[in-house]
Amino acid sequence: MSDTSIRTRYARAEGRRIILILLSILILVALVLLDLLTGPSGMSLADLSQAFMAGPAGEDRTAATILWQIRMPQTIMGVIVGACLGIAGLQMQTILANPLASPFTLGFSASAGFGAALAIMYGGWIPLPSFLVIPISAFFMTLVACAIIYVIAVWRGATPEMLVLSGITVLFFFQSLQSLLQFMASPEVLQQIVFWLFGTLLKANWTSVSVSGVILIICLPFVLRDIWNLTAMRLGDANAASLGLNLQAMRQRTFVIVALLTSAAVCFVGTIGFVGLIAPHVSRAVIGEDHRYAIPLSAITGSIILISASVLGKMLSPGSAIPVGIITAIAGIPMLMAVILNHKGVGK
Amino acid sequence: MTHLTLQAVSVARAGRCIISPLDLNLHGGTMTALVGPNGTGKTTLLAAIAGHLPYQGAIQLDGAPVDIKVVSYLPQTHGVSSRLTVLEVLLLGRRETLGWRISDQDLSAATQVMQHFMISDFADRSIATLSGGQQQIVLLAQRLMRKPRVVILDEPTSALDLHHQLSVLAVLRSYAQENDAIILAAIHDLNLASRQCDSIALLMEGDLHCHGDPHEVLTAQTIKTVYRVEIDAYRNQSGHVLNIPISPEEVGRR
Repeated sequence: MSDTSIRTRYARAEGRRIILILLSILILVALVLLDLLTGPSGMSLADLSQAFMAGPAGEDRTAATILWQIRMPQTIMGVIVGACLGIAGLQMQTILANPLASPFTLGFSASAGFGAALAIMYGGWIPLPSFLVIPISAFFMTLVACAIIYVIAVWRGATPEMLVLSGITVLFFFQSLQSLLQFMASPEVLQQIVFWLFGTLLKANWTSVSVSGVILIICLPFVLRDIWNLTAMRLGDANAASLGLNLQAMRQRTFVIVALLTSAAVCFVGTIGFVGLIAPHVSRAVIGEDHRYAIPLSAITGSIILISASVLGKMLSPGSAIPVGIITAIAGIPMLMAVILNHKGVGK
Repeated sequence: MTHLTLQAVSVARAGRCIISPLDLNLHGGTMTALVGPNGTGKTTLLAAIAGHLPYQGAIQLDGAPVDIKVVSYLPQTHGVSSRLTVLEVLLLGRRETLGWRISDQDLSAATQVMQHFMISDFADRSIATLSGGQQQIVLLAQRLMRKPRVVILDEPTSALDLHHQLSVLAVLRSYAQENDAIILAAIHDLNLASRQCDSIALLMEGDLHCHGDPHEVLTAQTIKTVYRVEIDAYRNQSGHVLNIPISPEEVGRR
């Protein structure tokens, strides 16, 4: 194959990837519009576009409130949470060299759940509104879990085995504490805890959108800085290390970014499983392992999955939307099976 | 000319001395085979020179401590299961300098290396779909992408057939000559080492037993001392190739 032929084919492959990303953005935009149109109030497209054009201070207060205060923050939150989980999932699967890794492998969901449960039970005395106390507590507890694993990683080496084993320990630790709180809770409080754990976009508002969005934006440059290092890690530890990559340092800083992205995703809306597991697989299967493209596509795929779940949840239960966490968990099982079967096929 | 100098270099792992203090001088434009029985410390010495293991003593390139950015190191390879294409794998050889957009220079370097190693036909294929030998060639080619001054290779031909063993080592040797680079490769096949390399460094139980031209190092006496195998060493008709036949009965006496 000549030099020109290789260049042409490479340029064509790059072009194809860019088109795929643009297509996925189009799909996401379509789903976002569909999500905005779907809801229990039964607003028509005309009402909705009027409310959109009139802005948040539009004369039709009901339409403005539904669109600008309820649906839009929920939809944007879905996009942000999906993107956070998609990116964090791809990073986890890469640094742990494990196709079944997800943002929750290291116990971040369990720690966030415990943090939320703690705030629901005992956060009443804190002089802050409850819609802030719960996410702050969940976020803080996720960082505590991150700190525990980080210390172990620095002390005993940030190998995939060490990270996974310490992550599983942290997971069981926080799950046990969470179960203890649930056991001690009154029926009303227990109901609140369980509802938080479902993972639903109904809790989203402009504050949560701003906080999670800012965390995502802060993390992005750090993710992009390591884009080639992450790609090199797909060749395995021995090869990546012999290319001069400091795997220990790479795993440690990626792990901190994953913790921040996961905290940003779960602290306001609760635990949403499978998105961080499936989105990276879809991304790699569609666009390959070059992380310049795999990371954006994993983020977009995460958002697509979450917004699809949101639309589905609202359509299946028009009166009260089924939490997206439940939809992704149910839909995630066949997806996970597909991943396992596909992985086996690759190895043959 | 480039000079790589090892002075009193020793390596210990888990408190056990693997490499006793040794001196070794390697020159630019040459390929040296590091040979020796199993477990004699070849991999350990290579990893230390490549900066992947701590060592005692001094390793200098042209009189200064070695900057690992000018060293390329390929450890013993095992299967790679990545979906990255061969071209992408090669580009990763320049990981540190790659930008968001792949430059023409980077693409040129990759296509050139592919042509040298005759792997252009695989450019678009995922590395996971290649055989072990083909993967080994791709990873070797990747190590030359950033034009290293020192190339350290651990059994670079272990998965290759006879034809590719010869052609790959020929490409490496001409790379060394054209770029004044130093290549040090652990090789088990003594015939191959004596035919394709400029010099041989023979390790025995962590010591450098001898280093020099293949026909000086790979003598019947040396092989008997180091490998405990009696062989015939002679020059063949082409005059510059050393052939070392090992008769089955001699192997049986070990």
